[in-house]
Amino acid sequence: MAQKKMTLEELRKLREEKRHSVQVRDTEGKTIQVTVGMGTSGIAAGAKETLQTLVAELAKHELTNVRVRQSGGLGLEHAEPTIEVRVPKMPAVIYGRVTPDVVRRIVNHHIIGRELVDEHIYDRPAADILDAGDHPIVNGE
Amino acid sequence: MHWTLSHMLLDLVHNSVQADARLVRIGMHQEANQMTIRIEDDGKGMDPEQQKRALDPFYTEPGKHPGRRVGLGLPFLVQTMTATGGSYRLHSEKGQGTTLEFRFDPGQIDCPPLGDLAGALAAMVTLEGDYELEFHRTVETGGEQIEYRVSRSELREALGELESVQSQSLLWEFLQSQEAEL
Repeated sequence: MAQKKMTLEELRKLREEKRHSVQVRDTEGKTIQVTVGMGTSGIAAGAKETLQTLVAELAKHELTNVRVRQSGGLGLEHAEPTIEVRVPKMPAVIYGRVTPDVVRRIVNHHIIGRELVDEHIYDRPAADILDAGDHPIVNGE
Repeated sequence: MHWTLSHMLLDLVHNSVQADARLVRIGMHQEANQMTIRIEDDGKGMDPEQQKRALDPFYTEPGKHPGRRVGLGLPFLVQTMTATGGSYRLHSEKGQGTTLEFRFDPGQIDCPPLGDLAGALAAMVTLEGDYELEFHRTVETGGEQIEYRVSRSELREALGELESVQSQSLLWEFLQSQEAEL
């Protein structure tokens, strides 16, 4: 990208400007959290690109106060890159084989549309769903 | 093997942060056909026996990966250096920290490309934990030196926090602009 070298002062200003235009779109003001597994195998499988697409896609939809974190491997090295998505009132889900295309689907279907992307779910056993106290399915809503 | 040098760096910095480093210093110096990269941390370090094992792909620190006994971070580096005629030096002291220095010809045909350093750097400064990261990159061409420096603390100060999407996308933009000049 051809651009002028930005100074820290410019970065600070840009941040102030953006702060005013931020729309908080995650429902009920609760924090959505996405963790990207960035162990050696994750990185080798493209987790850095997954992370970047995730940040870009969330920013595109102005879901700017989602917390994006990195962890070591999530324990599913056969299905890298992996990410864990935690949306309030939904079960925590670990998705595997999350290429940039799949990231876009997860953002659009899971985070925005509140529907799981079934064919990429790799983990979070049923116990987790049963533990999700106020989850609508568990509570028969 | 990692397919870009940026991926390899990110992986090595991950090791430093996971070893409880409070300060990670990365220096990257490039001139003509030589690149020198130095990663220095004040993490928990390794004794000579652990250092030997860290270079063994069929070893990982007990407890680091439940249910798995291989660790490929350092072996990937060794493999890349060996394959490209480069060299590396690992110096570590238990309780003091680890310094890793490697030197190679980036134009060597078997050397992986540098890749997206700005993106890797953005990922390096947004890891969990309370650590400082200082990054200094210099490129020398025709007697002229271009460089930039960034530190995690000043980026965090400018952005307020480093966890939100907003911060991370601005961070990426900022780092890309630093790289663009080189």
